[in-house]
Order: sequence, then C-alpha cells, then structure tokens
Amino acid sequence: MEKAIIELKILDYSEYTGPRYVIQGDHSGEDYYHTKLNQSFYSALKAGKKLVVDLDNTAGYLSSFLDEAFGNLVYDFTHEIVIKNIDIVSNQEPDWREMIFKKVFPDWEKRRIQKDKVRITANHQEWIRLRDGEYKSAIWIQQE
Amino acid sequence: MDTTGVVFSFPSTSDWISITDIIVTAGIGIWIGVTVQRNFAISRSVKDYFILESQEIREQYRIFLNDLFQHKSSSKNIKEWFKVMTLKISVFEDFLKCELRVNPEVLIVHNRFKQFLTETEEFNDQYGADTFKITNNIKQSVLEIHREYLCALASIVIDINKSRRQRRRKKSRK
Repeated sequence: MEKAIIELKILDYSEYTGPRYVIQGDHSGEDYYHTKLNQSFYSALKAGKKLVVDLDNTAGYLSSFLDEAFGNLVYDFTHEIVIKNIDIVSNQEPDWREMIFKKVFPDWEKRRIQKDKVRITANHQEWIRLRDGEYKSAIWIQQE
Repeated sequence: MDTTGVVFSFPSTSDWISITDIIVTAGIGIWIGVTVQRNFAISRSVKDYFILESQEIREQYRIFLNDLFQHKSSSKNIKEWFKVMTLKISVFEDFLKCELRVNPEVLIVHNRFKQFLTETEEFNDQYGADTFKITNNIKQSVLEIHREYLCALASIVIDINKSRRQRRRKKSRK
C-alpha cells in the first residue's frame, strides 16, 4: 500500500537558494538541511509517511546546494532509510532529481560508511541522526 | 467533291476510356504537384524553424560564455541563466522529438555543464560577489564541454535536414 505523503516545497524556504555552506552565502544547502530538511524528514518517518520534496518554481539551484542538503540526509539516516522514505519532484529540471538519486545519495552513503568528516560552518541547533539503531538528537558536529 | 470538315461523332467506349485515362493521369499529376509541393513547403518551413531555434540557442550560449570569460556575470545570474536555458532547451528538444523524430543531445550536455560549474568550490566561494572570476582550470573544462555542446548542435541541424515530418494520427470522432 502506498504511504501517505508530506510535501515540502523548497520554494517555501526560499525562491533564491544559495551555495553549499553557510559561510559562502544565504539560503545555503547546509542551512536548508539544518533548519528544514532534517526535521521534516524525521517527522515524516515518525508518522510513517513519505516526504516529497518539491524543487520546482525557484530561481534555480547550484548542484552543491542540493548535494549538501540531500547528502547530509543520507549521512544522518542512511541510504536505505532515505530512499524508502523520500521522493523528489523536479518537473522543471528533471536532471536534479536524477543527480540526487544516482550521484548524491550513493556518494554520501560511501562517506557515511567511511566515516568521512562532514563540514559544518555555522552553529546549528540539535539535529536528528540514526545512531546505534535509534534516532537521537544532538549537536553531532561543532562548527569549525 | 465532298467538302471535308470536322465531323463530330459521339466517342466510343474505348475513346471514353482513353479520355478518362488522360483526365485521371493529369489530375493525379496536378494533385501530386500541388500536395507534395505544399507538404514539402510546410515540412521545409518546420525544419527551418527548428534550425533557426537551434542557432538562437547557440547564440545565447556564445554570449553567455563571453560574459563568463570576461568576468561580467555573477554566480547568482549564472544560476538563473542555467535554469532559463534548461527550460528553453527542454521545450525545444521535446518538440523536435515529437515533430521530426530527431534525438538531440543538447540538454544532456547543458545539464552536465550546469552541474559541473555550480559544484565547483570557486563558484560557491564567490557566490556573494558581484562577478564570478573563472579560474583557468575551470575555463579549460568549460571549453571542453562547450566543444561537445557545439557538436550536439551541429548534429541536430544535420538530423533535422535528413528527417521526415511525423504524420499526425487524426483522432477518431465519437
């Protein structure tokens, strides 16, 4: 049976998304992940629903914004859990959806397994991560 | 002495067959001439339209790269330009595939260029700057991608000229 969905539009966050990191500019991928995506994904998981993220109707993206935002999701929740519980809508630029599923998710899963360091460039509130089979909230990495 | 003149006599059956044959042959010839020429004219004008559109896209890319190499564009402007061009090329290719059965590859190259440039550290570090100063390393990669892009556009023009227009099936009336 198809899961119910929770929709999240990046347009509601900003029409003008930014670069990868907070120190590089406003509305970054890092900021989007920590202020919106991490918590929204966790809420959908808890509710047994699928999170559908809509990329359309913004003024465009840097691939690094999407890489940082969606990559961190895999790093914190694992590839297996993310692909079962997320979908991405990108009718205006379908290549972004393909990039996220075929490149970003697998790349960050490798980084997660190898325990590669993730860069944080600002102070963030606690965020959710799967640790020892449980979802826990903490400030997992300090700002560099 | 008999005056000879044209005496009209009613055509025989074989005469009718010959007359009909002449009329039908002439009619078919005229129909072919008009219809085929008309279809050719329509087909040629459709092809010319797509060729013009591909030249327009090439020109927009030329201007974009010029501005990029002369440090006239900001990262923000570049990002927005990429989105606009993605939409434009996508619509162009959809119609091309539908009307002329051509399989273009311009969008694939365009998307690769977009993803490559906007992923670079330099591009992200300079996101807030008034203009993006492209480095030599990136420039070389951009030139290589642009070469592929020009090949894809040239292939489109060749394929358009070789193609035949798709026949549209008439929808059945209920």
